[in-house]
Amino acid sequence: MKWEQSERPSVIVDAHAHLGPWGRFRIPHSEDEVLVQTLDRCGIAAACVSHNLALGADWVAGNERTLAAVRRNPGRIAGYCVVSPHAPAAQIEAELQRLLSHPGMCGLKFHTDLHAYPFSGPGYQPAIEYAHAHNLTILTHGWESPQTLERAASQYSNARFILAHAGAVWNGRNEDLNLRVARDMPNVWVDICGSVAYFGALPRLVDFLGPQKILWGTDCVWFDPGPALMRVLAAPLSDEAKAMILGRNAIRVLGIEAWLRRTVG
Amino acid sequence: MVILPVKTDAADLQLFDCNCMIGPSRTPQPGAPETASALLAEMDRLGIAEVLVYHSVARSYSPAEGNEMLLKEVKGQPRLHPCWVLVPHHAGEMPEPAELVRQMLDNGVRAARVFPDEHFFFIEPWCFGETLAALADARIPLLVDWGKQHWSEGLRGWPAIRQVCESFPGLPLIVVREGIAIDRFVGALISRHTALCLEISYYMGHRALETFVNRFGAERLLFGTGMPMYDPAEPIGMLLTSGLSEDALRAIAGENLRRMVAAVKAP
Repeated sequence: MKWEQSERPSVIVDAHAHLGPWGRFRIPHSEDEVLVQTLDRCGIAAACVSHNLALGADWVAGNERTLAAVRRNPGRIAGYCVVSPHAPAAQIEAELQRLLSHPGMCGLKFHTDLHAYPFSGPGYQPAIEYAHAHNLTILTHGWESPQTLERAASQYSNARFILAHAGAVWNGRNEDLNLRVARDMPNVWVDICGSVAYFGALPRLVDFLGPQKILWGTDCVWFDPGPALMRVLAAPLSDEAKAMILGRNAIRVLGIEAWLRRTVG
Repeated sequence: MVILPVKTDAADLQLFDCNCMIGPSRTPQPGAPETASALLAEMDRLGIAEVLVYHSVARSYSPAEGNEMLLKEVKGQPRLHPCWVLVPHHAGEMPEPAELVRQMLDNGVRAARVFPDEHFFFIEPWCFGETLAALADARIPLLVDWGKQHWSEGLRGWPAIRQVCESFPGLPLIVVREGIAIDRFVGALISRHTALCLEISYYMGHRALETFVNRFGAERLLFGTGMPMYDPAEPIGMLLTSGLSEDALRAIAGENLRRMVAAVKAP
């Protein structure tokens, strides 16, 4: 296989990325300046990030850092507003209103594991209702069960749900009921951001869901985007499917087309 | 499709995959190669020149029987280099270490692999020391696989690796499938033990390769894929987008492993 440079690259958008260091292990380069250099290195137009500080100790301060990075890098770094389900409902609504009014702030981010809180618990309700009321996208790491996900997607049909890592952790062999929900619900997608990539799983995922349901993500700055990029490029998929997965779907689902024009014209 | 950062393609790098299995699997991945011909086809598709390969039967059924099957599978295939799976000789499953090494070299086997946790033994010298000594005498590279599937298992096995490094400093040791969570301790070992190397199929932190190479050089990293369980495109992507120099890329891609295999000698 030849890896050739292209004069007409497809627009590539990383729908699941991060900024900032992380306590459990060392991240060599976690600053937005370096992330943008990495995007350039890999031919990626933009990355949609949540800040690790927001996922860790301080969701408000972390979101502020996300916003600052978005402002510093128009058209290159988009931001998710992390929601802490432990915060009062009024504070959540105020933060969402304040942050998501800025260009480049592209959606909400839940992390049910790190916040140790169930997806269906009342702490997330204000945020889900807000997303429903404003036609917003929630990238959610954790959704409790296929049933809770299906209920939320049905009840809050104007909200769009991206299931973080759901397309990556699947081994391509066994039935996964979460994927069934993603296939059947019009407002649910999966990303293929993940720490493990199994042989042959991506083409099976595309067969099952269709390429229109799959978003590309990398978990950068935890992981380098190069491996995830080549996972798609080397897969036995059509160019059309690769273009959808690598960027077109994210642009549509996250509603970032106008914002992205600053970069790709 | 995309603007790749380097003009070098995978085939130009003469990739030599040190982490590959052949044979039937109890958990077969869709489309994954199980035979020599299928593996060669996948290598051609991805631009992988050579692989160091062990047999699935040696891992999941019988090391001795699987190692024999491996020799038959790779016979007449110069791009497929056999790697035997070893267990301690005390239980009678393997020959005495000196005889084991003789058999390996007689059969063109220039690398070994162990699964200490999966095969229920200790790699530390009190249990595996005689075999380690024989491998060290012959400079036979030993790949150590703790069966890790996720980076959060990062700490497991490293105290034992440290003991082996300290007891057998000349033994080429390649730890496979280590992830992003090892940087706070692995440097302490890498800097002290010059024969210790990492296989990169899962070492995929943001700019991890260039960060490692800037500290320790390119000689301590080896390209591997984890086929047929894991997607081999990922480590290729890691290399091609790493921003490393052509020399560093070639070293990691295959030259380091070729040098190690070429250095194997009769004890």
